[in-house]
Amino acid sequence: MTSESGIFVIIYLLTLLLVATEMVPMSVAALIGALLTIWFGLSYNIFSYNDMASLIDLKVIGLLLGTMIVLEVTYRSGIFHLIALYTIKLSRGDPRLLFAITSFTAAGVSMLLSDSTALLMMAAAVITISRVMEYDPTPYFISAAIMINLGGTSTLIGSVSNMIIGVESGLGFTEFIKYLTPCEFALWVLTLLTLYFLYRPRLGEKKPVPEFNPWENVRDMRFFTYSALLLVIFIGLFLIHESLNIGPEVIALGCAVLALAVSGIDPSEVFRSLDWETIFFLSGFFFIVGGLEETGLLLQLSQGIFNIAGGNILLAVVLTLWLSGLVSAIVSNIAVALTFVPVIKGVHSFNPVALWSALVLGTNLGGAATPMSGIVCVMALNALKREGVDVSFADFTKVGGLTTLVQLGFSTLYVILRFGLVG
Amino acid sequence: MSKVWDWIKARRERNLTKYEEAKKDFERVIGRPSIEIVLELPPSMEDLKAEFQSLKDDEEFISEVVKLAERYLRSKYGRQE
Repeated sequence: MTSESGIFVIIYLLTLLLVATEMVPMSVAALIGALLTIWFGLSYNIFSYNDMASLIDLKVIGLLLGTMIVLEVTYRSGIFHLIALYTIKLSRGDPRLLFAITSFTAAGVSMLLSDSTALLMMAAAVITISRVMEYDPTPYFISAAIMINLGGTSTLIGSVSNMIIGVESGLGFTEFIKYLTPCEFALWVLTLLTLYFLYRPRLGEKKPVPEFNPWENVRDMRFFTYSALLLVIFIGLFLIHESLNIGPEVIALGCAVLALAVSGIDPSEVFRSLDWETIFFLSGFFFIVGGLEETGLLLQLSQGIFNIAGGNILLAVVLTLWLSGLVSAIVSNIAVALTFVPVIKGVHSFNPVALWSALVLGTNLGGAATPMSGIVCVMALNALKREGVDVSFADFTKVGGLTTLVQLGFSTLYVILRFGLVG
Repeated sequence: MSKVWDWIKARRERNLTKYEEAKKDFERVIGRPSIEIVLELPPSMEDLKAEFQSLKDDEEFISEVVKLAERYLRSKYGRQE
């Protein structure tokens, strides 16, 4: 490693440290890292001023921004609230059924909504029903957070890390579903069983649920219908985007424009509600990883991994899955995905889809191992604290850590069998 | 470890406005509804500005307001105790 490369490694590690400890907000940490990367990159002629812009992938930013706008508009129609309310009604006051249905619904809505929006909505639903039924909200809350982290593992728009991997690898919306959805659904069941085993004594007794009308929150039926239609078009276009020969970012941005044009909502209100923290974090981190890539370090890392695996694809896949999963338990999975993408690209494998699938699973599943692993856990614990319940680091980690290990273990078996890596 | 976690947790306080909004939506449908009223300082109480503002956290005052709302609803809608 040259002294120039060493500087970029230090910038990368310092940024990760700042992000993990949140000494400064994560977006600011990434932008500081980006600024230093640009400064040193230009000073050492690692890249030219004109090449600098190519370090950031505008397709990923476009996909993220478009998806956020479409889902922010549809969220305001009450469509997701309606789903959550029907979930509660379906439970008929049986705490085991309520636990199972709210957990599955949490995973289901997070296949579309961003993790933070899904968490805030499901947490609000869970706290309201547990107060009415006089249940301990903790099992329902923590399970919803863990299931939200899991939900969306198999869709291109299910998480920011998936968007990065999808755009960079060329895996389309249907390929994500084809290769990963069976694994995700199996993980839903397995995770729910694990959570039920851990929380069974704390779920409460069966009681009648008060009568209510789930449609009460839908205030504008026209807007609701329009939003439902928009969601159908949005998902439908994603399903056929490969045959249309256009990138997913075009679908997302196109639907975003349609959503803003027809919804009648003041666009500035929608823009204010977007998760700018994630957008700026992602933009900044593109520069940091781009700088590392330009030095050739990540290519060396790819070769190193392939050497460790001795050219064995099975070992390379398992290493990718567990390494990305365990590192995502400590630092942001967006950073992990951005770092691993050039590494995987550098591994000239005869089975790249297996490696990409392992990376998707690892980066998603590591996000709920400890309270520090991802934004969903932090938000769940913040909201619980507001309701007067303080969950300790150890208590969360016992549940999050165990479910993550179960998920990573099952995923290892899945990728081995799905991609025929044995024999 | 717990001290480190407390420190990190304090740094990671998140804006929960969306959570509070969603909670109000759900409470309106299945829980106990709540309302927000803007009260102005009565004109004759100008000298008690700070004391007036602290009423929003005064549990005794909030309990009196709940009782007042109950009495008012009973008298207006003829509901017996």
